[in-house]
Amino acid sequence: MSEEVKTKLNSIFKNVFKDHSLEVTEEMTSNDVERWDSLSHFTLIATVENEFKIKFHLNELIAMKNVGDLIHGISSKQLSVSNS
Amino acid sequence: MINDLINIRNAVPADVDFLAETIINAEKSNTEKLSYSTIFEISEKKVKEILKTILLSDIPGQELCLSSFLVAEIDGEQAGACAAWIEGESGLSSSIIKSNVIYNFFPAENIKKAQEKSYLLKELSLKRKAGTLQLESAWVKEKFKGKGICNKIMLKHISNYSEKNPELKKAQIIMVKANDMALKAHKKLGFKLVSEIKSNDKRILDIFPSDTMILIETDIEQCKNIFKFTE
Repeated sequence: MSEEVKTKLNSIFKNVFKDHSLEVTEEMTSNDVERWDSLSHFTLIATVENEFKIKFHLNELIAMKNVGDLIHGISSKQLSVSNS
Repeated sequence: MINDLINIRNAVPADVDFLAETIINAEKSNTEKLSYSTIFEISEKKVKEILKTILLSDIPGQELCLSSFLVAEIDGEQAGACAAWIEGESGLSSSIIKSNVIYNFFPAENIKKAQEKSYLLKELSLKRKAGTLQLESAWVKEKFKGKGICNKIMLKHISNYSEKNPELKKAQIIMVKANDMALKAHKKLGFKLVSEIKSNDKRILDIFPSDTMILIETDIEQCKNIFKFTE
C-alpha cells in the first residue's frame, strides 16, 4: 500500500509545486523543495486529504517531519477506514 | 524606578486575551493593516477569537504558542510580551508548524482566500535559520512604550534559552523595515541587518503593512554581556 501511496503522492507533489522533475523520497522535507512554503503547504495538505479522502488531525500533521511520515500517515488512515 | 517595577514572567492561560492582542498589534507594526485579516479575508474580531483558541492549543516551535511567550507586568498590569523558540528544534520549520496550525483552526474558505494571494506573499518570504533563537510578536502597550520593556523581555528570553541551550549562538527577528522605533530599540541589543526583501508589486500594500521585510540577527554572547552591564 505504501508504494501506491508514494506513487500517487509523487503526482500530487509535481502538481502542487509545479515541478514535473520532482521525485519524492521518504527523507524529503520542505527544506528540499524550493516552492514548499507556508502557503503551498495549505495546498499540499488540502490536495492530499481530497485525493486520498482522509482528514488529518492537528496532532497528526505536527507529527509528520518528512514525506515518509506523510506516506505512513496516509496509509494508516486508509487502513483504519477500510477496517471500519 | 521603572526597572524595579517590571516583573517578567512566563505567560499563563489567563494571559490569552492579552497575547492575542499582542500578536495582532505586532503584526500591524504601527499601521492599521492586519495581515491575518487581509490575507484570510476575515474580520479582526474573528482573527482574535481564532488566535486565542490557537494559543490555548499551545503547539510549540512557532510564534502562536502560549508557552513561547514571556509577559512583562508593571504593578500587576500586563505591559508587553514577546514570543521565542529555537527554529527547527522539532525537525519541522516554524513556518510549516504554523501553517499546520492555521490550516487546522482557520475556516477552509478563508484558507482558500490566502492561497489565492500566494503569488504576492511569496515575494516577502524570508527564511529563518535552523538552530537560532527566534524572537517574534513583540509588543508593548502604548502607555508603557519608551521604557526599554521590549528589550528587557527579549534579554530574558535570550538568558533563559542560552542557559538551557549553551550551543545557541544567534538570535533572529523578522520584521517590517518601516518600523523605525522597533529597529532602533533592537539595535541596542546588537541586532544587525542580515537580509532584506522588497516586493516590486505595489498590490502587496493592499494586504501587508509594508513592502519590505528584514531579517536582523545578534550574537547571543554579546547580548548577555549587555545584560550584565545593565544589571
